[in-house]
Amino acid sequence: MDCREATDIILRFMPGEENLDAGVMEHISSCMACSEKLKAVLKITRAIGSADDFALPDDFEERVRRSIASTAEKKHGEGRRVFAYPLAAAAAVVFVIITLFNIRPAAIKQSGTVPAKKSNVTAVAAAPGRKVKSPGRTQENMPPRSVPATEKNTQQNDTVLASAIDEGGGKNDAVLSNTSALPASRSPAFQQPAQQPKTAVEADKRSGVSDASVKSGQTQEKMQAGAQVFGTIIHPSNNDTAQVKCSLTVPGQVRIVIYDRNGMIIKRVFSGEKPAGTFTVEWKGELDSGMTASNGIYIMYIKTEEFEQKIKLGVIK
Amino acid sequence: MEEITFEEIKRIQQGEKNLFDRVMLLYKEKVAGICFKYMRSAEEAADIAQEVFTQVYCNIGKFRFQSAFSTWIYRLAVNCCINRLKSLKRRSVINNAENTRDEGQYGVEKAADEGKPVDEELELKELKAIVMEELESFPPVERSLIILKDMEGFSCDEISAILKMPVGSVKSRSARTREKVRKNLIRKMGEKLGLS
Repeated sequence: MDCREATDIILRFMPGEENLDAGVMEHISSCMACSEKLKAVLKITRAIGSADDFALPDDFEERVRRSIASTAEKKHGEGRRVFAYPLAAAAAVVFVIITLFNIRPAAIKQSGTVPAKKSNVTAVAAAPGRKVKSPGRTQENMPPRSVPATEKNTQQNDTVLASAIDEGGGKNDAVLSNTSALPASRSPAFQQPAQQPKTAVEADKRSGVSDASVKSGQTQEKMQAGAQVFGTIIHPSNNDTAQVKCSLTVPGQVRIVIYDRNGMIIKRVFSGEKPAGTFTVEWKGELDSGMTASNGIYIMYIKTEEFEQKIKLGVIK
Repeated sequence: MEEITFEEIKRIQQGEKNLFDRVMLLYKEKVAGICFKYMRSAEEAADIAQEVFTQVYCNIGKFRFQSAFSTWIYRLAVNCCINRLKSLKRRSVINNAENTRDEGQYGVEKAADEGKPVDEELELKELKAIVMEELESFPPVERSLIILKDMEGFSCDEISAILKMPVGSVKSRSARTREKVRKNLIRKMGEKLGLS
């Protein structure tokens, strides 16, 4: 037997399951190189066979239960949300149908004219300084976003204008000069986006500061432990970030992770020890893999030795 | 190893969810071990194990009693690990260097306590790390074969059920993979392994 044959057999040899035949053993006893190869194979086999295990964290079962609860809640929630308020759901469906199919019984009754065509609306809305609105999307079903005050006013005007045109059919001028002539049943819904925030809390909500931040913001002066989140809606394309300002009264371990709606961790924002005081961490809407998170709702889970907090964040690309 | 009975599984399927704690108790260590060998990061392995048990809970109604329950759980664990590795794409995302160093230190202390030669234990630790690194370059099925057969000690029949692969293929592919691992390691580590 030569070294090549012996090496092939040694490389396939599985210690503990089989024995090397007499020919190979004889060759090994006379060949130093093959003998060393056999020793190396035995070492490698031992290294593979004694791979390390690790101990699960103490709260593993509790984590599984939480994950199961959130998954179950999500599954049931989707069904319940529609059926819990059947009247509201039915009203919403009717409203959408009316909006989409341009049905306006009230307008026909009042003016006795045929409802305005979509082309009219587009033509007026596309005038200079106006924003073109897609026919199928109304202010109600647009996703929330923060806009400057001037843009808000323009949008408000557009909305009132569009509704006025819708209500007035072909008589645009008369209706445009008197928006108060809109039917009471429709105008509040369209005017709602233009309402000014009544309270400081409401103002904070509109500017993207979460409830959690408002609550902890009240206690910040007393130097209590808590987290404050700025920017709950993230637009990764605009380099928006969610900033978490955490206050600790004692030094300790801090873990901030982002879960998706399935309860899976998609990003570990921070994990480590922090001294007492205030620190800020950011999430730009990216995943552990470096890719950008898809549109949707995510949960930021902040765990410190003093408090635990969950905050909903939205990503809109 | 103690197995959960089909009777108990039926009771869980019928809504007796308290029994699920027993499932976790029986299988969590093994599942965590498998996950750790794939992911090489304790934190990542714990996350995957959590995901596995969540899936087991949500899909236990789909278990058809056509295989051992343990096989079903291990198959879920293997699939979860492979999916996660695919999604991570680059393993460098996981900072495993720190983990390996900690484990190495722990292993050396353990060896010293047990009266074993520390040099030998250090060498073994180093070799383990190199083996795991080498395995990362293998395709998922081949890596699964080495992890399940050589590391976790499953039989060829069990692996065949977990990976849904004929027993003959398990035997031949695991032998080929093992040979490939050894060849690569001997080539890379010839000097360290004492080869001239």
